[in-house]
Amino acid sequence: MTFDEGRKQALLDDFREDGPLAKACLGAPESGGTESVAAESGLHVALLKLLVALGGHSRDPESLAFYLDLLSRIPAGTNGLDLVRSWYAAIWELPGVGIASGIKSTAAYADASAVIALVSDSRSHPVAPQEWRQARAALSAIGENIAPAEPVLAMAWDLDRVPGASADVFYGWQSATTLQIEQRLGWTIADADRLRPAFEEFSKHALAVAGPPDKDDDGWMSRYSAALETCWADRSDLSGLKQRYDAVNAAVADDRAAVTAAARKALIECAKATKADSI
Amino acid sequence: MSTIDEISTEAFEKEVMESTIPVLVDFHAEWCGPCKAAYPALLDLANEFDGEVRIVQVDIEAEPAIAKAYDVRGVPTFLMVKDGEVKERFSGALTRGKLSALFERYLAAE
Repeated sequence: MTFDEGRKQALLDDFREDGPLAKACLGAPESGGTESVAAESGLHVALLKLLVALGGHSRDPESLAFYLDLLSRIPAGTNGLDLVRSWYAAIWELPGVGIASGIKSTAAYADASAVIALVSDSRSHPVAPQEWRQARAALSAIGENIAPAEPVLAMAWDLDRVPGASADVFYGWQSATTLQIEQRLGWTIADADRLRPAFEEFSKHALAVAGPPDKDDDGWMSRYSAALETCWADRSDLSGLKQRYDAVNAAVADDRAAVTAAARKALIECAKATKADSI
Repeated sequence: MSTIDEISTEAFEKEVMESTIPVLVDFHAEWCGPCKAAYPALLDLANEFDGEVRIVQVDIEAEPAIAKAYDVRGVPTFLMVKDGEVKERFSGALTRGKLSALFERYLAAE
């Protein structure tokens, strides 16, 4: 099956109309919808899984515009696998939010660079599954704190055998940057553990006050939020911690948005540079 | 192609605690979306580490005694068991890279 001009247009039309292929692609990750769309369209499953991960499995206008922009730029005759690999290389080197910037000063940098070199090799010749495994094992030797290396660990897979790893690169990248923010703002596991019981207790209380969630009840969310606010106001001993939690959450949300935007832009740029004769 | 077996309370001791290789136990529930989302990655890891690390699942609603015995309060919860001991437990989102690093760590320690 080849992603030819006819299938490309059919896929674009389907996404524009929220047709069966788009629905299959954007369904729950475990539904296996991307596999069926790959079989129908000729695109590689790894690319489709990356596409929907970057779009947050969403049908919102911004995500839809991203899907259409990307799909329209993939040359007919390619299956998108090389595009995924070129994206790996691109996000490693991105200024600012790039993966290398988070790992450069760590002991893992040399082994992470070796994975990137293997990714580069895989664009010109097959890399055996055992080579990927060895590269991951070397990088894993850094110990328990593997978070900064998580996106690189996700790159070191044979995508024909494990196509879902492409989306893991993005999720791992988000996790790594979240951890960096938490560390920068001094947010610890102990802080989170201290707040957790209050969150659970207050959520139960707010649910009891607001009643069961009802999407047709416009006032439900405001009642729920007000009840939560009251709970927090009554616990002045936790107010400093809660303020820090809110600040960390806001910073994480900003950063995730920046990473998502950078990831999408990089994939579009890679697609623009894709030659029709690349596989 | 490896499979991920569902383990009953009766079989837990033999299949998990007496296993000669490390075992990752995935406590899950039928209604749990994040559990379902994690399953494809677990299946990939089961194939990649076939014969080296075993992955099994326990349905907390079908097997509440095991969930209680291991203080599982939410799903998904994962236990890493080696030599009859729970070495670590964690929850939340998993990537293949993170899981593979965990497995490599336990295999390297052998």
